[in-house]
Amino acid sequence: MSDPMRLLLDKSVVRRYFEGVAALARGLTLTAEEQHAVLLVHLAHQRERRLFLPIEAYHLLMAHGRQIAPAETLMFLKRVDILYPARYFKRWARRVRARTFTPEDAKVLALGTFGTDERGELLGVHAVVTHDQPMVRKWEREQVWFGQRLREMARQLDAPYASAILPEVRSPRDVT
Amino acid sequence: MEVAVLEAQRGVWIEEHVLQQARLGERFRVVVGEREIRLVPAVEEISRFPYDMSAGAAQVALKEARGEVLGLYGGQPPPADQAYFGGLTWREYQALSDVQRQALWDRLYAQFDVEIEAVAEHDVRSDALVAG
Repeated sequence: MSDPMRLLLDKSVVRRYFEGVAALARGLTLTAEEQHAVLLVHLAHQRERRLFLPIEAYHLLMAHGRQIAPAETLMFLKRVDILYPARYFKRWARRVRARTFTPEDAKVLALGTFGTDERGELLGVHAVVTHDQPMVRKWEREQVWFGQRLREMARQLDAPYASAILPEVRSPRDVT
Repeated sequence: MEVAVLEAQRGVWIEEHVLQQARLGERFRVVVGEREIRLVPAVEEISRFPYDMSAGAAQVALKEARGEVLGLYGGQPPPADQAYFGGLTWREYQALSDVQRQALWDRLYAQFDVEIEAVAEHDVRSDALVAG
């Protein structure tokens, strides 16, 4: 079974994608962030990347996007799957939260380690992708601490949870 | 709709929401021509694209994406005064600042957010592919 690089998109990327595609439809100039989000999503399959979004973002799109921005929603959802919280997600999210990440950021970051697809066939993603630069920098600063805590926690877990890793956190333009 | 106030010898005042709507970005140039003055976006130098792609390849992909969205809309984008997102029309949404748009998305996202302790956890197969 091949294992393409898995990327979890946070809300900031979803928003820029929607704004960018809506602007494209109207022939408007896209900002750099909009271009990055549209390109990241549009070319993911071709570049052998698998994209995910949190279930909360999926519900938001189904409630607010499907009816009134149907083309943007269709284009997005055909390229992105939902990442569900796996076992130990809550325990890890609490630890991330305790390092003063917002509840939303803590959940996205924990999902990057303890998230799975609908069939439970994968665990974690290689990178969380966000336009939130403070979040990128804060995650970098906390890498050593989180690495140690995750190793301590994973030592007591069964497979496959024992092999869980920390995702990188990158801006869309830095996804290679 | 009055979008600009012209006062001879005192300059031109353009409301912020009009500039937002025009998507000129943070910086723009004033181009003075014969019988016209135009505001155009300052060229935004994008030094890096996802997947290490070139600027040329990026433009081709964006053109493809435009073709796809226009195809889904039957060749014409929805009217600017039609409902777009979060109870706003496209025109109203365009007039929001980036901070206001973020606040709108935050508010809507919060409707579907649940506390960490209330999250339902899913089982993973023992032979699951672990990122790494």
